[in-house]
Amino acid sequence: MTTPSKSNGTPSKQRRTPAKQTSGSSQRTPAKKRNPLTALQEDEPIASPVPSSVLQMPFTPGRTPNKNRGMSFSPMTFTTSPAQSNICASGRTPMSTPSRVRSDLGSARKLRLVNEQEELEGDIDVNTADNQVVIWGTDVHVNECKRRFILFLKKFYLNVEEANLEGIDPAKPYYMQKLEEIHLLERPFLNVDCSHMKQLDKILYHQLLVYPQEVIPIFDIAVNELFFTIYADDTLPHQIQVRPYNVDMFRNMRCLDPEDIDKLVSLTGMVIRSSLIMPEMRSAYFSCNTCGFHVQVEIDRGRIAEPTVCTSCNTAHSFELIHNRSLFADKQFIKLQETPEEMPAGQTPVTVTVVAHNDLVDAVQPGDRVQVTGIFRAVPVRINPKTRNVRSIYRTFIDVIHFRRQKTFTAEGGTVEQATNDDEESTSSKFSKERLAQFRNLSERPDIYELLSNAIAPSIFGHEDIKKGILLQLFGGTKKSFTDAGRKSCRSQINILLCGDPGTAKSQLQQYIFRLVPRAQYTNGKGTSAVGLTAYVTKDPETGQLVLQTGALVLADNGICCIDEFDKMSESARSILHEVMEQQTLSIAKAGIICTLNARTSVLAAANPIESQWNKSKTIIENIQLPPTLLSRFDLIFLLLDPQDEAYDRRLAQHLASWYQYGKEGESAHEAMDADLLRDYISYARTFVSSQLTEAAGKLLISSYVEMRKVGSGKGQISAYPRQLESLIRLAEAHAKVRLSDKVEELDVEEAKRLYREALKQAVNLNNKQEQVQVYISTDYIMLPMEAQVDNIRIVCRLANFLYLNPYQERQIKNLSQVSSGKILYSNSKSGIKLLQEQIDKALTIPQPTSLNQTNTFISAVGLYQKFIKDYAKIPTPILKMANN
Amino acid sequence: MPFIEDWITHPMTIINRLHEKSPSTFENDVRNYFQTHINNLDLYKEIPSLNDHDDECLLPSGCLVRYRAMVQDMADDEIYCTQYKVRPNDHHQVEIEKSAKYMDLFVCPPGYTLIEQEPPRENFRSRQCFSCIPIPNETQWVKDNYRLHFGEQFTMQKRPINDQDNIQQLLSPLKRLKTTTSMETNNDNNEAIVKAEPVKTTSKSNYMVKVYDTTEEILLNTMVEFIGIYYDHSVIKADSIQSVNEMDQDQLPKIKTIHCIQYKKLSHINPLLYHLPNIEFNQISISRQYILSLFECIFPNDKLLCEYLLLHLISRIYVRQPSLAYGKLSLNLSHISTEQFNALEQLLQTILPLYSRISITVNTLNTIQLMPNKNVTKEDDNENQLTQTPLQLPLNSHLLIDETKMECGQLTTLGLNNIKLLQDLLHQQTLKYEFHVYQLDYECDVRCLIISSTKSILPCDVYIRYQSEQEVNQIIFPNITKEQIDNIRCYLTYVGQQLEFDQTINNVSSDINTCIQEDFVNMRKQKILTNLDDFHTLLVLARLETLSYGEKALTESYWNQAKNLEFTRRQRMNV
Repeated sequence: MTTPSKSNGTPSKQRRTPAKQTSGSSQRTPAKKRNPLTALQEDEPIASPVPSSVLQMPFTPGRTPNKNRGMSFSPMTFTTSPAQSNICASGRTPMSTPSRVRSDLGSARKLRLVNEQEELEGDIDVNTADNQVVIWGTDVHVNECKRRFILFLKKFYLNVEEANLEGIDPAKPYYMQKLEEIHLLERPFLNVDCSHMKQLDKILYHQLLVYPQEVIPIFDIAVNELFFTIYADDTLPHQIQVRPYNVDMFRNMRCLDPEDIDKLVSLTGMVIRSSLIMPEMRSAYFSCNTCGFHVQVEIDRGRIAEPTVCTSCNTAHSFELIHNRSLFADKQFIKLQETPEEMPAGQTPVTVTVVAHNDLVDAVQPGDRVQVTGIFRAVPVRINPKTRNVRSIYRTFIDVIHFRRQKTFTAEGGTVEQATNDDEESTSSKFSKERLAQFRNLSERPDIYELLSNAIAPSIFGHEDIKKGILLQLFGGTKKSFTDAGRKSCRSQINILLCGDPGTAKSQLQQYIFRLVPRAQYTNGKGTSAVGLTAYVTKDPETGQLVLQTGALVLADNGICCIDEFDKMSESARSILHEVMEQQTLSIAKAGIICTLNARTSVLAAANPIESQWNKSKTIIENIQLPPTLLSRFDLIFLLLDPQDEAYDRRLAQHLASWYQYGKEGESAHEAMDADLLRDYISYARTFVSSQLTEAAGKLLISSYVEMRKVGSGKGQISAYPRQLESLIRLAEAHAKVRLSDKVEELDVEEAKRLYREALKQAVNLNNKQEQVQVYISTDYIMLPMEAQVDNIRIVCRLANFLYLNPYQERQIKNLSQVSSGKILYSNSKSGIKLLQEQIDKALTIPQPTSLNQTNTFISAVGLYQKFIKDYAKIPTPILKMANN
Repeated sequence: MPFIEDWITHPMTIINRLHEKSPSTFENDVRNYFQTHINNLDLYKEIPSLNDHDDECLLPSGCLVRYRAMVQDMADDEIYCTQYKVRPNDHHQVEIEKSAKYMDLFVCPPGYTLIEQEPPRENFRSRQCFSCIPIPNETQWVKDNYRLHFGEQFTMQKRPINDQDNIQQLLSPLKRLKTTTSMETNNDNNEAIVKAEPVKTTSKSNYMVKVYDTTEEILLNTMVEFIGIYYDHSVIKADSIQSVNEMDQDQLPKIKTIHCIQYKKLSHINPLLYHLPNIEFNQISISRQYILSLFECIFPNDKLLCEYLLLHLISRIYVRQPSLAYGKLSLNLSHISTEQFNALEQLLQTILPLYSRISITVNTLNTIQLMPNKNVTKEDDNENQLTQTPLQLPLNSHLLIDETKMECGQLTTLGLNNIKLLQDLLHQQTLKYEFHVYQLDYECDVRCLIISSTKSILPCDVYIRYQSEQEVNQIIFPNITKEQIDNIRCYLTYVGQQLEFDQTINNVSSDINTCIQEDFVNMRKQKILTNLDDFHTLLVLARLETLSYGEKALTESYWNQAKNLEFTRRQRMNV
């Protein structure tokens, strides 16, 4: 049995123990073997983070108290004991698989288990030592740890849901499948999700966190043993290395503090800079000038000690470094900056230096968003040899063990690949389990739709339906591909036009969306040129090459493009939108560059009426003055009118004034979801939910479409285009997505229909609430639906009076004037043709018809207007029908 | 007890002594010791202020200093070890443990050697590092007053500011400057100012302040008074990628370090209000009249404009909403003569504690980067400072944007970005900072006054055209004593503060609430108020009006006053 006193007589490897000794302690007891009893006792307080009990052990003479830091003990130290053979178990490792140094675990210190193994091969005597080896300074019990890890690998199963996400078999142990993968792919890295470990073995997990430097090599050994017992004949490039990730101790960069030194930490950040790859000498090869004797010196705490005297010929200072035969490892410094989401307000982002080794070098590029798992280190700032000053500051950095490049989370899930150092991550990792559970809970709430729509721009008063529309736009429809059918794909984006009086929060809504959605662009139609929206070609001033610069629409690919002042846009710029809004692509043919860019953008446009104030007596088309071709590309057209209603004004004033009071969050402080949750929820839904139409919903859609068509075709015109059907489908799909449901059900279709109707109704909500005329604006005529009330006719009369006269083609009016010049129906002046006021008054005072007879008189009285209204004949049709019945 | 001199020139000896006495309670002891000293105003004055030492410091390293500064950038936290040991050279005596707090370099007393060793993990602590600059755009009178009231008695070269008795004299140094320059062409004058500005704001000596055990958050751009130990060695950074050895010591920029013992956040820097928590009520209305009379000297026959100017000067944000900020009142004045402009500028400099101006022309917009940015691509870590721009200002600054020289021309991308930046500043009171991989919005509170020849290209809350019958050529300020000027200065700071601090202030009582609602409904009926933004402005005006009279609660009369004000203005603008 090795006793503590043995420390004086440690084998020749003693010189390779970390040579950090101060003069007082040249001899250390790096490892010790204790009798099983004490070892067991030591194992009791397994969770104690500070191994103070070990520190105070009496049999470590000459040790200064500062030595108790875990990191000052190179795990190699226990290799000096006979137990080493047991740990390495190299007997099971076929020699064809070379070992490989892990510089990520101890860049500055020796941690060369594998090297030890090579050297010790000769005197391996498997299983002679007892199993009670404890790494000095920790509570890590080597064999126990190994056993537990193997157990974990063998026993861990994913639950069905996760397994499906990962695309593996839930019936088999997860990590055994991973080992199989290694066997097949020959990529000798095993990524271990620490959350899995936490589920199964808290103690092991805790040890890993606190003593990663010691525990990970044990894991390495364990996994290699396991692997080579299963796949005995395999030859790997090098031995399997374990890479833990997703440590619970998820740190904001800001929170890294001295407590974390030498522990395993995970943090996210953005790469802002990476250095060149630096070769770091791992072992130096010296040869003697005199006798040719050579010696290999390993790096020790960042330094190579040049041998002064040749042991073979006893010449002093005869050694020369042979570069070619020295071994080097790659090393790269990477600077991470805090991500914007994690930043507390009003502070500047912090940065962390990260050191990548070997395979991880160049795994990430500047601009990437990464999750890093590694060991947090602090080393003293090196003393400048010139000055005698010693600094109290420590340089901190993280030795990377695992990189995970985070998905740039865009709307169209899965399109942007997520690359890690292991290509196997799933996208769901963006959200924590809690978040996912939160989503699920939310989605089951019956009022989720209202809840979410209320969360949109809570400071904006009212406009519930518009918010709902925008919500659906955020979710978007399901992406469908018809490549087989010869059509590229069907647009899943929903386009919305907000049109209305100035000061009705249109721009604020847009601004809110712009802030909410990750890839949103905000442009102002007034200052936008066609090229600014699409793309333009410039000549690079330096190289003279042609460069394609993308505009707002392309930049908002998979996002939302908010266009304000849509009406003030130049004609040419607007025409660009035709392609974008339906084909979702952008074709460019300019000086030497011909290409088609993706512009899968939802457009949220806002327009003012042509006279800047909504003219109630005009149709929407006349008010907006947008070509119908473009209008029909909007799925929903909302009208934001100043209701001119006293009660509304009062509530509004209250709402606004409440913002001016301290503390109060406005009277409508409804349960507002915070924007982060909303954003996450939407991106989750957009990525993972793709709703399909159910049969019932499909039938309902068909019937409602047919109905819509019928309404139009009755008058010899087509009122609904297939485009409107597509709109309905998209809206229904989006509504299903809100519930995170895969199926589009009837209620979704109903809501889509309601919203569609609502948007239209609002669009023609001309006078007040009771007198609503339903208008399908697919073409530019007004049509009364079958179920219209009799008194709606009055409105038509009003329409006729004020508005329909002016835009009617002048020629026809002239004709008219010839026809009825005898009757003084109108006066012809320079300003235009106008109905006489008396005539108007007369028409408006026609009493409400109550009987069939009266209806007929009404119709004949109204008939006066037929001359002035385009397609007048269609308007009173319902009434005529009624009368005829 | 040490002598008075001692604790200022050699605070470390005291700290060491306290550490020797009882290492366990040492941190508290240090705090208490300095606290008691600093609280004594006489002793406080003894501490040399870095703000008064403009030229390269003559201060000895390791002495206690005061530093009134703005947090301009934040460096990463730093890990240091709290203890180190020295051993006597003769090897006989025991090792002595010393505290390494408040220092960067271990100090080894003569006859001792340092024991180099790796300290145990428990001895690590972290401290925050701030890169600070003297508060930008502090007006001269603030500096003078600080010196006068809190200056060190023994080193102070007293400035004879006491004998400046009235505003004529207060303005006179500037007056002289103006008269000399006006001989030259005006264009040259302005060009010179434009060119000089960015240099002036950025080149000031800055310090790295290391703060221990912060309890409250110190945000970017906050004004803080630090009291700490000054070291004249340049900053030692721990986070450089390259090892320190490779860097040439001489090339390092000379940024000195202060190890902060105590700090105090400053909500304002008006030295006159340092001890006064509030001012008397009747003083408020008198000061209000004085200010208006001063304004009227510049803008004769335009009471409306003066009133707006006053409200603008006391405006301050009190509620923030995503993409909205309530309480700001940016003002756009146009059609004023150069004379008036200069006079206004001087006046503002005399009464405001923080005042800055930028001049925007197509040329300057296209050349000056207004967005504060951090260029991290440079290999040299010491260059990775946030670059300060004229727009990085502490809270409650005043910014005058001079648009009078704007001419036609094409904006480059930089120019457009700058315009966007200014628009955001005016509209939402946020400023974007560039951090290489992303941009971040920071909230700010800067009162913006735009002087333009016609309506500004930037969006402003209120636009007023100066209206007068005759050209104003000669501006003569009335005789107002120094005391009254001081009162005005107090008034502006005090009233501005009320808006932020006094929570009770706008408990708009239900009466006035219904009244406002009625008015709103009526105005909408009459179509005189169509835009909701106008209503916002009206509410802000009413609140500021109330405040400017020192009142706490909005009453109907103030509401009507605000309404009158706003509608008169609109009438004028429509004409």
